[in-house]
Formats: sequence, C-alpha cells, structure tokens
Amino acid sequence: MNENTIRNEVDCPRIPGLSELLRDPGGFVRYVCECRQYVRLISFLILLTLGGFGIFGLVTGFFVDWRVALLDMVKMIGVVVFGFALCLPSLYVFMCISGVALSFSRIVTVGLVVTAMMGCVMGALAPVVWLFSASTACLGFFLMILLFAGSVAVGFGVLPIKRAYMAGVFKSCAALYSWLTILVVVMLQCITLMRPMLSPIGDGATPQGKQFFIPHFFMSLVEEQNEDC
Amino acid sequence: MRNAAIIVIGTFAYGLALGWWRSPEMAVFIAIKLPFVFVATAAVVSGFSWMAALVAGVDMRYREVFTHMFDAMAVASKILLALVPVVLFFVVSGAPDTGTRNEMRFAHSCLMLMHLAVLSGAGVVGNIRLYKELKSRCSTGGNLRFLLICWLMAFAVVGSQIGWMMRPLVGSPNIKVEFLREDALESNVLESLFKQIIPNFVNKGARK
Repeated sequence: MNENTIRNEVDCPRIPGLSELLRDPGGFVRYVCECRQYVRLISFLILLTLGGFGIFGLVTGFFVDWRVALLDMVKMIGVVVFGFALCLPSLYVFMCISGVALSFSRIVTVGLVVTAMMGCVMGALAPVVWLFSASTACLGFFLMILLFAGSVAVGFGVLPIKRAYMAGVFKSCAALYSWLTILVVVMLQCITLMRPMLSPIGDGATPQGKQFFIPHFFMSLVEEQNEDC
Repeated sequence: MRNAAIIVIGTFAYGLALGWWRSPEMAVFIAIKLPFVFVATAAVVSGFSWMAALVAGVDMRYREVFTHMFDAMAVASKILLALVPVVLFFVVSGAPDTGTRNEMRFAHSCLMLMHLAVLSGAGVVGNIRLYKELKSRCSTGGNLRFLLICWLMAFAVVGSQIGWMMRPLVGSPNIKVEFLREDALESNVLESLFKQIIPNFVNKGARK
C-alpha cells in the first residue's frame, strides 16, 4: 500500500454535521477517509451543495424578477451537478496519481466535502448578494459582486483540502487544488452555456451561438452596461 | 506493454476530443496522430535523456531510461484520458461552428492554448511522478533535479516540434481538413507561438 494512503478504517459512531464541517473541515475530510460510516454523509453533502448553489442562483435571478430567479436556481443546480460530473474522472485520476489509495466512492465524497463547503458559503452570502441585487440596476457592478462572492466561496472550498493536508490526511494537496481549479473553470463555462442568467425572459436578448467563458464575462462586465450605470 | 496500451488509449481518446471541433474526420486523423507524437517524442529524446542521466550522476542503462520515460508518458496519458470529458465540453460548448474570420481564429487560439496547457501540464506531472520514483529508488544519489529539468526541457521542445510537424493537431478554421500539411517542415512551433497565437489571443475577435 502506498505510504500516502489512509491506512485503517475505523468505526466512528458520531456522524459529523454542519458545525463540524465549518469548524474543522480537515477533520471532516479525515472522517470521510478513515471512517466506515462515511456513506451516511453523502446525502448530507449533496444536499448542502445543491441547497447552497440553488439559493445563490435564486438571489442572483432576483436582479431581474422572480421568474428569472426560479430559472437561475435550477440553472445553478445544473451548473454544479454537471460540472462535478464532468470533473469526476479527473478527481479520481489526480488523486490516484498523487498516491492516495482511496476507493472511488471515498474520493467522490472528498470532492463533495469541497463543493458542500462552497455551497455553505454561497448560501451564507445569498442575503448579501440579494441586498446588492435589490439596490442596483447596473449589470457590470452586480456581476462583479457575484464574481467576488463566488471567489470567496472557492476560497472557502480550498479550506478542507488545506486543513486535511495540514492534519496529515494527505501528503500533498496538489491533486485536489488542480481538480478544484478545473472544476471552477468548468462551472464558469457551464454558466456561459446556460446564459442568459441576468436578462428578462423573452426580451429578445438571448445570446446565440457558442462562446468561451472569458469573452462572455469580459463583455458582460465591460460592454453590456445600461444607461443607469 | 501495459504502459504502451495506456498511452495509445489515453492519447487516442484525447485526440478525438481535440479534433472534434472541426469535424469527425479531423477527430479521427488526430486520434491516429497523437499516439504517434507521444511515442516519437520518447524515441527522439531517449538518447539525450540517457546521456543527461549519466551526466547527472544517475547510473542507469539506456533500456531503464526508456522504460522510465514510458512510465512518465503513461501517467500523462492517464491524465489526458481523465480530462477528455472536460475538454470535449469546452469544444462542444465554447468553440463556434461558424463566425467571422476573426471569431474563428480567436476560438482556435483559445482551444490551442487550452490544449497546450493540458498537454504540457500532463507531461510535467508525468515527469514529476517519475522524479519522485527515481528519488525513492535511486541509491547512487546524483543530481535528480538537474535530470528532471533536462528531461522536461527535452520533452517540451521535441514534443511540441513533433506535434507541430504533425499538423493539423487542432485544426485552423480557415484551412481545409487534411491528414498532414504540405508545408509541415517549413516552420517551427516557437515561431508560430510568438507570431500567430499570442497576437491573436491579445487582439481578441470575440463575438457578442
């Protein structure tokens, strides 16, 4: 067995919850890697991920109206589900190459810890985003707020990886950092694919054609300003 | 044999994703060419790599060096295989089928840079993995860091040039689909990077 492996499976009767995830994300990852009962966490982590991203999508759409809000909620859930599914093979291969000999389901659960952490932060930032969405009509400014909130969430998503590394659960965190980078890029492209997310339904401004996320975000920030900005 | 199979499968699948944005025909062409690029690169740099190992004080036979290089390429191929869904997603959702000349060139430059990042990243990880393995096994000592840099440089320069000669590997939007270009030996990869790709990316021709 590789020396970078979590060696012994143990019984851990106490299932960690949300407060454990936030207070000790490294310990949470250790639980996933070492405890037999980790399977019970999967649905909890999925719920946190979908809930957090869904709420974030909902408040994002309130920039326009409640119909767009509902649509954006579904879209954001789609973004995280689709992005995570696309990045699953890379998560598994990167972890294996870095010498972590965990089962596929455990590796997926470690990935879910990261997305759940991001979901928690996005859910927590939702009121802040709503506050700004309700108090501005400037698309570029609101997009900057969204990108900032998203960056904060990604920053918190790094925490479980970093703390697990510091706690000695992994000997290297390069694999998970690389995976997280790819996940974020894929999610940004998913958002671009699901555009428009900040335009009224049926206003005729639906963008056509394929586009990479960098020019899409750049143009949304710089060029598509209305006269209120 | 196992490593050779991994290299062929990984690079074949990645080649399919690479060429898909132009046409299925192009995808098949590139899927055939990419494994060749990998194997040819290993063959061309093997002599230099063996000598670099000796200079670095790592006592290895030529055959051992060649085997280790295939190990590194197998790791890189596994990474490429794992990234096929992601790359295919970007190709399908980001690269336009039609557009103005500038828009298509911009899409081509984006794809080119993405593939360059993925391929070079996979190569670097493969070599770093090899470095760690050598470090744990090497009893004679030697300057392994120097050896890693030499091998990486050799792989990067030779690999990119062989890839360049095997063009089209991404497929310029304004040039017809073909297996090999007639002017394959008339320029090199560094010349193109600084004269075409970077200027295109900087002066983007993105669509609204």
